[in-house]
Amino acid sequence: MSKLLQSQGPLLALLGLVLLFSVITDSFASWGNLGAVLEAAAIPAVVAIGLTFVLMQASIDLSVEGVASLANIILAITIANSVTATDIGLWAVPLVLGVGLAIGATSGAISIYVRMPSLIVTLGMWLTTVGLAALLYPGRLPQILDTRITGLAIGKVWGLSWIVYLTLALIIMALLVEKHTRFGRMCRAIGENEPVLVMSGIKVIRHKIAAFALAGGCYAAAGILMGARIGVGNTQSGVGLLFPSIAACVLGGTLLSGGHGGVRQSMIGVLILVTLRNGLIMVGVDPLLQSALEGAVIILAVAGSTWHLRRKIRVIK
Amino acid sequence: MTAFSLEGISKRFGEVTALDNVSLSLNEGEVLGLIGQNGSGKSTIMKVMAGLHRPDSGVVKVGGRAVQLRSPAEAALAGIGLVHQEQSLIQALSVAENLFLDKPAGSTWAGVYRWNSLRDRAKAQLDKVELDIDPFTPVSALSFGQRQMVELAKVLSLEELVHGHLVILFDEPTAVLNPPEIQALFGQIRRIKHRSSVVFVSHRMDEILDISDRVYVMSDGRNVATRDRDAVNPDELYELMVGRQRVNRKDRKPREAHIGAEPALTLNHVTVPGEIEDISLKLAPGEILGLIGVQGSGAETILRTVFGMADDWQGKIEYFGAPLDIDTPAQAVAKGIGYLPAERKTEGMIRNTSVSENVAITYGWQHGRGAGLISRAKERGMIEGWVRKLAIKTPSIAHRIDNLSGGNQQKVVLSKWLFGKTLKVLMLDHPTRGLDPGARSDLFAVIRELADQGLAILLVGDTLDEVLTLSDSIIVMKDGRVSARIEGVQAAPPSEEDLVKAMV
Amino acid sequence: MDATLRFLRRNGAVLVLLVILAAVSTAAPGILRWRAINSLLQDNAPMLILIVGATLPILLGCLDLSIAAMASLAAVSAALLSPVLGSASVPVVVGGAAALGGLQGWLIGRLQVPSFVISLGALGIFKGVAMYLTGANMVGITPGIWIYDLLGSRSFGMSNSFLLVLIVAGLFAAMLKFTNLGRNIYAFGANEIAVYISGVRRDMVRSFAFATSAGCAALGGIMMISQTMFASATVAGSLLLPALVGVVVGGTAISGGVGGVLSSLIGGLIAILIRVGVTISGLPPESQDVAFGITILIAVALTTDRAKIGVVK
Repeated sequence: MSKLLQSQGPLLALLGLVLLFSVITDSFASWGNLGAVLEAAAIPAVVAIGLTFVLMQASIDLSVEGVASLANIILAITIANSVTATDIGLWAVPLVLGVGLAIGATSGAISIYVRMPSLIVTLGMWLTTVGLAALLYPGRLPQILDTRITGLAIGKVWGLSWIVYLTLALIIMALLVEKHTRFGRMCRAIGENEPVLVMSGIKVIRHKIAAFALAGGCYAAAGILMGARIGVGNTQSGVGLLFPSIAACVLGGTLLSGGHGGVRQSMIGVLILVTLRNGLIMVGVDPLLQSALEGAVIILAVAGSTWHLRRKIRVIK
Repeated sequence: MTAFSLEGISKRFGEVTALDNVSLSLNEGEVLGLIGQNGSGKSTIMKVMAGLHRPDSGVVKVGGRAVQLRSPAEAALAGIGLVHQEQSLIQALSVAENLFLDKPAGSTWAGVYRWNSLRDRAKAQLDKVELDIDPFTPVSALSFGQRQMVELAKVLSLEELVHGHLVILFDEPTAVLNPPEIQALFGQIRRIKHRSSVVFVSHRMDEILDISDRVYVMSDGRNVATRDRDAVNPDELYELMVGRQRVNRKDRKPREAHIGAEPALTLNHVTVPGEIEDISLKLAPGEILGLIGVQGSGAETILRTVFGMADDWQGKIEYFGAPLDIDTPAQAVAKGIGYLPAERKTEGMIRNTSVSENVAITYGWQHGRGAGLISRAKERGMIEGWVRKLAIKTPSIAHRIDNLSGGNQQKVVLSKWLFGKTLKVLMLDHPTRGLDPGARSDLFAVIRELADQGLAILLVGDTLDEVLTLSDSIIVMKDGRVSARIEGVQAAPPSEEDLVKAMV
Repeated sequence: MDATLRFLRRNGAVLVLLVILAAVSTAAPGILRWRAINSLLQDNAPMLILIVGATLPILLGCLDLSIAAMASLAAVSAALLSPVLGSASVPVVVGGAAALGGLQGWLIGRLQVPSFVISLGALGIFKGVAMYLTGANMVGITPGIWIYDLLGSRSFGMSNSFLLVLIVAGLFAAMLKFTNLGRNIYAFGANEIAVYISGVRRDMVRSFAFATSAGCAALGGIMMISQTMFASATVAGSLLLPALVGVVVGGTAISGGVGGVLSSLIGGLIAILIRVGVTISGLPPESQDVAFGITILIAVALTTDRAKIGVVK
């Protein structure tokens, strides 16, 4: 029983929340609201996918907001838009994803080869990419005119936008990578016991850089989807993504100390967080308190998930 | 037929000689039991054989051919596999993935696992050790005994990769197992003998005698004897294990001990789950109580529990007649208890910091101006006093502790406890580990003098002679329990062999 | 090589400061005028005090990511409390901030959750509370309260806020050098376990460090509102990263145990000059973020004690 609770705790928490909000509010349990929850969960989910692979390896990546904003801006100024004359069409998408991958790989490589904690490297990368996004900003808000991008948000199938379906496709791909590829299987192993893998001849460095690159790619994808949703290129578009994505991963059981969790767990975490936001607003909690709530959730989730690891002799920095 | 041999292997770590011109030969189909005390060099020799350490000199031969083992992977190619206690399995991965972790060829296609072929190959390996589990069970769901079998299967999978004979090394495989699991493991070892040679390390004499064809005894980094099983006399083995740790009777200066009547420290039925069980002892002011046992016997845990470092413990500890109700080292220190940890580099010294800061960290404030202000000028005189008294070799007290030799570092860490005015009980955890003989005898003199001044000293000894030379009483630990108590050591010293017998 | 590296680590920050100063003053000689310097220092006093405070957790090897959010929260709280409490609002806000910081430090040890997680969570909490208190609007301070007027004005031709930065930095430097607590802070950063076994109260040291960083952050927020008379829930939000840049550029190692408040102050001056340099070189002001990001990477690369990192995470 307790084992079930430990392994399926987040899922039960999600179901409990859904049940609770359905009972105490009239408006929560409706198809329309379910759609709203999924729409709100989509972009954080894309970010959380990338972050999960990094966290499983016991590293961290704080550069989400910068990379997503930068991706958003690059997309907006290279595709048909209202400000710049450039228009490379849908080639903008692989370009942006490539930039994200490259930034992630750079973070990973710096962390590994210069031997610096990923926390600091990605903090620096966060700042750098925020600055780059601002530098690339063409002075006026570029409207994205290419309907193949904006259509992702506007066009709906069964009441859900293409953003949700793309996210679902990405989740399935990520699950396949996690479960069936050597890279995916090694991520948790690296977080659990890197020295043994090194001794066994596993190419740990390659897997670590790949995880950061994958994360960067996911952040860039989030920037693209954000562009589709808001229809413009905005230097602030990524702001607010870091918190919910870290909180979601941790809520789902991806420990910051590595070796645990996975894509499925992180997705449950995203749903818990979005449900909580959505439900609390319906209950009447001030939306301005949202970040306070998420902050508290991060602390409680990390404390709760690592409570059994407490030892006097442990060094916590 | 000799399957494997070491010829004249030596290995040094800094000032310490771990292996001194050691030779060993292993016949095909033979189980060689390797026995020796802590620090006798058995784990170093295993690591040399497994490719984890490279010897400074000497030759390693496999099947009569000299080879270089630069890594575990090279050792594996030569047919040598090390069965770890359990640390080498990744719990997040399945049994099958673990089995082929270091032999990835054929497991994946373009980075994607071929689960079916992996399952069949894993099944074949698990059959070898008669382990009937689903190859895709995560290791975290296995018992310790099952994990040990998976470790063995992992090593046995070398068979398909290597031509010729295998050499399988077991490094204290029984430490985490219960008796039925140990018997199951022994059954497997007997089964695999026909196609491999085995080296088996254990702290436990009965196990060594049970499984080995020959017994190889190590002491002080050297091989002191090799005996066939039929010719083994356990008493002789105990004697051999003592080796150079025999107390030089001339060195022994009986102490005119003024041992207090009332105990300073009393432990009643203290238990730390999984580490020590039902420990009771008394320690009086002026007394040196020596604890000794092999690694993992729990002696260190006693010290750390008294010092407020155990996460979870039961029983009663009394300190000068009153219950000792503490939860942190800070509270222990406030009561007058000090602890010199065994791990000097990670727990003892404060790296990148001067000698004087290392000495003054605990009690510097007692020599300050009050209100939390410290007086470096006043401290300086006293620290220099201790540096002279303990003969610490350092250019100045502002010198970084990292740049001193191990013995001098240890003396600096020790003097932190002598610097205060309130210390009543001092606990020393392997205080002479890694020190050269000169530094050792210096430290012995200091410890004796401290006891003479009325300090109660609880000592976990590195070696027999250390405990025998210093202690007024001795407690021998085995598997977390007290296995022997000896009072009046200085008047009627027990023999080294008796101590070893109680330890293994 | 080793000696050169050590010299660079110890004095690098001062050298960098001088080089940048020379470069900036060649490009724009006007910068060296007293008035220009003074107004730069006044404008940047809030950032400098944040840097001074942020130094202590970093000396422990921890990281306090909540300082900027705390500064914003303090600014809006001061504005909301000043009509009732007058000048007393300043000690109340700073004291409350220090208590919240101390709580963070204590929670790190009790919950055994890394400092960046606790302070990241706290960042969110402070931000949310500040938003809630202000309703996401600007709040102003009642004019004529002497303590805010004092912080916004000058004496001896120098900004009072900057003088306060110097006083606080001096006090902390003295505390680090002459008190047992200061000794424990450095030792804690060098080897936490050895310090624990030496009988130092870890929770106390950590709570103190985080209390000072939060208290300083609150002072920074109060300085901001003294100068502009208005504050919002995000007024200081952009100060977090420049503040961390200042600390690490000054030579305080993120791995703990090395550095000091005065080094951080020098690092802070470098951060100011980077900003000025970006402005006068005609680059868009946004490039300062890129400059900061790259500077932080280089500074940490130079100062981190790699021997302490077993596996890089």
